[in-house]
Amino acid sequence: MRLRNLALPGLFWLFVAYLFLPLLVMAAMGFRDSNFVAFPIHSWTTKWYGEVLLDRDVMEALWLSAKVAVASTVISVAVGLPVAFAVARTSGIARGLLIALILLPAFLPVVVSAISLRIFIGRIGLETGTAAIAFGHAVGSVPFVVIMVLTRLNTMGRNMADAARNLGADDVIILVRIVLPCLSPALLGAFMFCLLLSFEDFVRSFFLGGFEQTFPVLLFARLRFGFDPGLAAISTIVLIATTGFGLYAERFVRKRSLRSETSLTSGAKND
Amino acid sequence: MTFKPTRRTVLTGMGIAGVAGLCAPGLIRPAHAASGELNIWAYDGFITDAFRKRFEDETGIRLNIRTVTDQGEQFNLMAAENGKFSADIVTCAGHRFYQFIDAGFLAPIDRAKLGNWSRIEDEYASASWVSRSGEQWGVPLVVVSTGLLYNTEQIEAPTSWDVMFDEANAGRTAYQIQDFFQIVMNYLGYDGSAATYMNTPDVAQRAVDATRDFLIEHKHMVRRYYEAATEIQQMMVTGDVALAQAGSGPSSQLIIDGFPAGYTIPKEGGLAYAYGFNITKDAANMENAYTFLNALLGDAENGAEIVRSTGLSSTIKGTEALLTDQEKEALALSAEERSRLSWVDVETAPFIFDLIDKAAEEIRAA
Amino acid sequence: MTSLLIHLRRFSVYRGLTDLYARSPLARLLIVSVVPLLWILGTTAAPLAQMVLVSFYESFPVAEGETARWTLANYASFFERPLYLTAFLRSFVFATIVTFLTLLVVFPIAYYIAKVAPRGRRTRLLLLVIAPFWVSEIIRSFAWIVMLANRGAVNSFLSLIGIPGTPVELLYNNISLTIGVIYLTSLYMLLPLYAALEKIDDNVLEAAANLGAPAWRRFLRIVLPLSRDGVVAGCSLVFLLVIGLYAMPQLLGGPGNTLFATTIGQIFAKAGASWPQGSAFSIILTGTALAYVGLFVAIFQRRGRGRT
Repeated sequence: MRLRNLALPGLFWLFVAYLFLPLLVMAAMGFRDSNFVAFPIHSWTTKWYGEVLLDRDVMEALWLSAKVAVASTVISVAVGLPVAFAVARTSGIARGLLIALILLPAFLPVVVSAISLRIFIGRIGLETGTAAIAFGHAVGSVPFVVIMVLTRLNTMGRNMADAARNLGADDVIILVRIVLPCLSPALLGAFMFCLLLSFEDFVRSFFLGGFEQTFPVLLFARLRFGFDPGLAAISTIVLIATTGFGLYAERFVRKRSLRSETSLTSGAKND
Repeated sequence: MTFKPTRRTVLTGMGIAGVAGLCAPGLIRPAHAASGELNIWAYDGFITDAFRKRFEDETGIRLNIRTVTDQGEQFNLMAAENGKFSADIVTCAGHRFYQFIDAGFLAPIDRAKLGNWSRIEDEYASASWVSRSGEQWGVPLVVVSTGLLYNTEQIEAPTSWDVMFDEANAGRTAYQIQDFFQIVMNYLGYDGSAATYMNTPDVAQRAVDATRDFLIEHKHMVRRYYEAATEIQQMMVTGDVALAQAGSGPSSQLIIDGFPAGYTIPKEGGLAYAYGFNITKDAANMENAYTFLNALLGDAENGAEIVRSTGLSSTIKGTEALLTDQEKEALALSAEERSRLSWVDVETAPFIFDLIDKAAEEIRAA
Repeated sequence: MTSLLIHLRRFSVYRGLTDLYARSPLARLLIVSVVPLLWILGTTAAPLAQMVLVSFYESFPVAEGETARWTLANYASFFERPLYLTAFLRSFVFATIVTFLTLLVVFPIAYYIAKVAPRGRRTRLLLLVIAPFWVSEIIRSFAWIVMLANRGAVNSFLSLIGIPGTPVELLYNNISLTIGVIYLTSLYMLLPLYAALEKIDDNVLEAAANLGAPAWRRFLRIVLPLSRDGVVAGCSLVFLLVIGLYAMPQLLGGPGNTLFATTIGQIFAKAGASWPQGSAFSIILTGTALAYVGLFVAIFQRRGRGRT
């Protein structure tokens, strides 16, 4: 019995090791005193990590990527949410077709969709650059938002909304006080996913970008002409920064939800 | 009284610091007092930070540089831009730049405006690969050769491409199919440049087919077909490969870093081509583009800087005198080896590359 | 927030708008669906139409002063030589196997996070598992190269503990490719599985346990059917992702592992008039892959409906 209780956690930590071991090796490579990344590490240096932190191009690219990630995530959720509501109201073949059409951008070969989008923004007169990249990333992310919200909407009963309406709430109040809170796990997941997709994207950023480059575009350009420990160092720093930010945000949200829960229950007691 | 941060003040503080930090790059970016701009797509290392700073300070022209990685990428981007090119200068003059010329993406170089053309080494300035239809289409900047890269601890200095097809080396070789293909055509006794096949397409097809079958027959010996310079360096360094067809740039970078590698042009020959800058058709900043190219060619120091950042040889006269012995050692090919190089012929390239591309797909899929 | 909304109700404009919205179902549908329809038309239908158009062109971009010529040759070239079909079939087999392996690897992980780990730690565990995905795909591929190379981490470790026969060739074959691809796909499997497993009521599992159902039976009869949506969504997502991968197979695969997406990538990477063929092949791949997944989803959902 004890062994069986250990099996799942064991598998989990084995999986974590599988995920992190290559990255730890990568982090160590950032300390290698050579222009190439390989074993063994004969002499160690902190020069790569230092250089990366002072590298203006890297910092500007990271900043642009952060901006684009936030902007495209906001657009994706703002568009994806009503799309999901609209799909939820349809049924039958129309629903199937609609879902297929909405999901398509996520599964078209990304080179093709990026080139099509580049031609498309030329037609509508949008300049290449930050706005175009954010738009392009949103196109790729909306399908994921729709899927996540839709899955959650399907499991949500109409009872609560009906009860609220009977009590005189209008649609906006129902949306804000009932539907959105109920969707919040899905929305949180969608947010994280969109940020991640945008931050990772190379092909769309490449085709839709101007002379300012996002982080993956910069990384690819440098990688093409040599994989030096500096690139390992940047990746490690990005990993640590984003993980730190994630844990901080999680803590923040957890504390807040804990607080609002207690205030809710204490409020109920007072009534 | 001591200041004891509460949770809220810490959170607010971190929030403000975060926002300030994110805004900072926007605030510290200098206002541009430039008398113009120039938009360039360049490979990493072609425009060094030092040159960029000197140029911007001297001319007041601000350089917007976008790092690109290969020709197909630039071609797709330019095709999508549909005639309204965002770049004034691009870097497509490799061995396939005829495709850019034929698609109408480039403007011919006006030699009257390019006073410093004479600063290019004569053997490169007069080579056939920059001209097509009687016009000059690019300014060569660096010269690349393709030869044999080997691990000196595992392989005795080779003089022939034979080693790539020696069973003793099975599982330790790598190459880029398209680049190696012409070399193998020459190795097998055909005409890799296809200059003699121009009027006999069926003979060319037979030569390509025979070469293809030869490579498929030896496919089991190949550890990997690679694409980018990074990959071959990585495979050498991590010991997965001991022999490879490779470019001079990645090879000399390995040698300069102290890795036990050697680079040679075997007796059956190697290929050479140039990378350089081209001006796009109807470029918005045409005058600035010529100012830039004149400045770049004007000083051998610029060439030396590019050599150090890319590991490729420069076309600018007098560059060699500025290099250290170690740098020269890593870059230099003997006169004999140099004579074995054949330059990519722009006029025959469309014809032969079409055949090679198809054959390459078949080798990959076999 | 609510008080603000109640405050807003005092204004007639706002009241008029919400009343209009509430009164007519047609108006409601219009208001709700205008944005989505515009979005779908603009971002999906238009580029798609563009691609379909290009796939019938003889060459693209069309040279200045010329009109486009139409042809079916781009599609025909797929069937002309067996090599495309081989790569195409290889892609489907590979993607199917990898999808199944990813499911096998990720299911216990998702189950552990969603059901077994202490409730308060779940989000943190999820974050821990998601964190590596902030590192670029290409960097992660290179990380695996450094792990598996002849002089890589694994081989160094093996020779350190005195295993004979090192270095073992681990790179550039099906194994290294599969390890790398699962590294990439596990996130896409994990999130839908987690969402589905998290919804399963703990009481149901407890009740089954109290009634004496053994673990495997609980798993087959309760956990698996109730997480079916997640399994179907995760598998579809992963399959479509793997079918479209081209950078990683190029970096971690060997000479014998060419997949169809890599072929398409190479068609687009080569400068010149290759867009029409690339577009045609993309349409063939996307169409077949979507049909394949659609069939899979249809079969499983029907089976699910039949059971409940």
